[in-house]
Amino acid sequence: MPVNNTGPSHTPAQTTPPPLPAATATADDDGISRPPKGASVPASARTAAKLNVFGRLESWLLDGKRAQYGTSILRILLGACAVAIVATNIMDRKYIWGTASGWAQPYREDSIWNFWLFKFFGASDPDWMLIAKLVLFAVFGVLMVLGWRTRIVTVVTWLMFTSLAALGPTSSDSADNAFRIMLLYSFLTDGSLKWSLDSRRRRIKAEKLSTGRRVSAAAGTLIPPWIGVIVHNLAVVAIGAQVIVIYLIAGLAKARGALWQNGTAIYYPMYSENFSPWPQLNHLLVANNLMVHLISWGSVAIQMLFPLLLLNRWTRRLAVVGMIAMHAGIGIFLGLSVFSLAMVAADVIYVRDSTMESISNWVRCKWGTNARRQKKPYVQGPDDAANPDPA
Amino acid sequence: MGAVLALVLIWHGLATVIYLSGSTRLANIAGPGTINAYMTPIFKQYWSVFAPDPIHEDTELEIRATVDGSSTEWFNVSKADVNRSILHHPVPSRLYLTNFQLTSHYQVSASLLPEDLQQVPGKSYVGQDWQQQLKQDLAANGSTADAEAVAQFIKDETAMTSMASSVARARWGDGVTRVQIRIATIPVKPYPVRKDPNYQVKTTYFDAGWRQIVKVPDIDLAAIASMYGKKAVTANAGQ
Repeated sequence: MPVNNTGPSHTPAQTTPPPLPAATATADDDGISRPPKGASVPASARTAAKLNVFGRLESWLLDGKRAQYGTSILRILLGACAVAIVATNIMDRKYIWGTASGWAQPYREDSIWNFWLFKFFGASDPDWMLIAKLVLFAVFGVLMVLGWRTRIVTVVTWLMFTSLAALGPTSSDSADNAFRIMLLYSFLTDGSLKWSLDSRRRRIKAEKLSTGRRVSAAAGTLIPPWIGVIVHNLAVVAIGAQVIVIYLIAGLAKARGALWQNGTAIYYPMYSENFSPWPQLNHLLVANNLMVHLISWGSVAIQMLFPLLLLNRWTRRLAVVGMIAMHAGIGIFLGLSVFSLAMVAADVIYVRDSTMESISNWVRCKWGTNARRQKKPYVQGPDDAANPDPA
Repeated sequence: MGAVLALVLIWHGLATVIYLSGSTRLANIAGPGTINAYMTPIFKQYWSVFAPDPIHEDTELEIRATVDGSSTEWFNVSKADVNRSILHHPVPSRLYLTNFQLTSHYQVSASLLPEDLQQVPGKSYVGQDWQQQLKQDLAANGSTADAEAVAQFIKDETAMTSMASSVARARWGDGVTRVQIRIATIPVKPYPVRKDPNYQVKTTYFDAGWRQIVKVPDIDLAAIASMYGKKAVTANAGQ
């Protein structure tokens, strides 16, 4: 659990927002020369925050877990992806992975995934076993959504999915790469901080502790808490950096294409039968000349400019909302829903916790009928210090 | 400890960028093969999708067979896949992708065969020992790059013929002795002429030769028949 330092003396520091993960990713080269020194660091780092970039970096990495909502939403949406993968492919499972897929054997024999860790799904499984394993995989997806024993569930989901994707050597594409890599990063974050059964359990435990009924001493004392904080925060940086790399590469690659340059690129996949769950809808989207150019150029622009847009809080909002809109479009019009969901899950890492809190408060006020008892947040990171809980 | 973790992250970030840069010179910067070995398989990734140009054609795989000495109509596997798993499916399954990638692997590896072996995929191999014959004809006499291209093609050919044979046996029964595939490439009407009713797109075909069927051990033909059998898909022969 992050160090709790919500004293009033820290409030001024909050007027300077902590650096973004993006900024950290590029500035890290310098940051490494100052190793953290354990639990005493946060306080000193906070003083340094006003002095130099190293101090700010240290404080960003050590003062508390960043992107608590972002990593929690990532965990929830990745779990939903796992469920969606099973639900949408279960009817075609035999041909893709199962008893009717023996024609793919030449690829399986020299697969790069031939490694004992990734053998959960097997080419010789009888159909009932494939069904059972797929259902188990979906159950793990549900457990991720619920946030139950998040770490172990996430890493097992990753192992199962990697094995499943390897079993269909011609059934896997970039969507699987995105999902697989994000699962691994998600495992390194503490994705259970918000909206999870784990956080509920910890809160109840903490309440019992504070009312004097001794439960066993807090688990996880084997590892000093700051290690959990720094691993979580570095994984947040890794997710942020990976997202930037994905968009930069995708944007730069498109910028070389004549069809993207002349602004008509988006028209073509809309008339391709394998990307058209709803052909009439697709044709409608590209019926207007201006629309075709706006979407084509807009897609390249937002991908290439994504890292720059992150530098300012308003353009960052534009970038995140724009990306979510783009992926919604990819999911609806091109039928690449699971890919879209995995990418949206990762985009959300760029929404700051305070913003998420404002949004969720707004939602609660708007539809406040189900206002349950005021909950005490069980974690209070420095991000929360700006509006400290009355309790 | 924290510094070590930060270093790991920096290494990971640099390795990812170098891996994706596609530059061989950069890729060997940390010693030959180091970065590739680190990235694959776990961080294997590719993001140049819909680039440099988006998909601007439909690729359709068609299969026909020789049954009791006479040839069947072409059966359009891709059309069947689109109807079964994409059209009006908000979240399409991987079925279309499965056959699409197999088809595209096959076509790409055929095109990458050495110059003097380019006509081999189009030839027919119909003896019991057809795979031996094919390998003999492809016996690389050139560089190791050629040998790799040949090995890749043989792998794709084996998978493709195994798939086509299984679909053919499921659709046309036990009388099937030979199969043949062709790959149709149907361009989308170019944007500038999209409203011109007189503009006709020109479909091109990649024709493979006939092959003796491959009987994949223990393959569930009933499952394939439920997808591609005559009852499941009546008439969608390629035009």
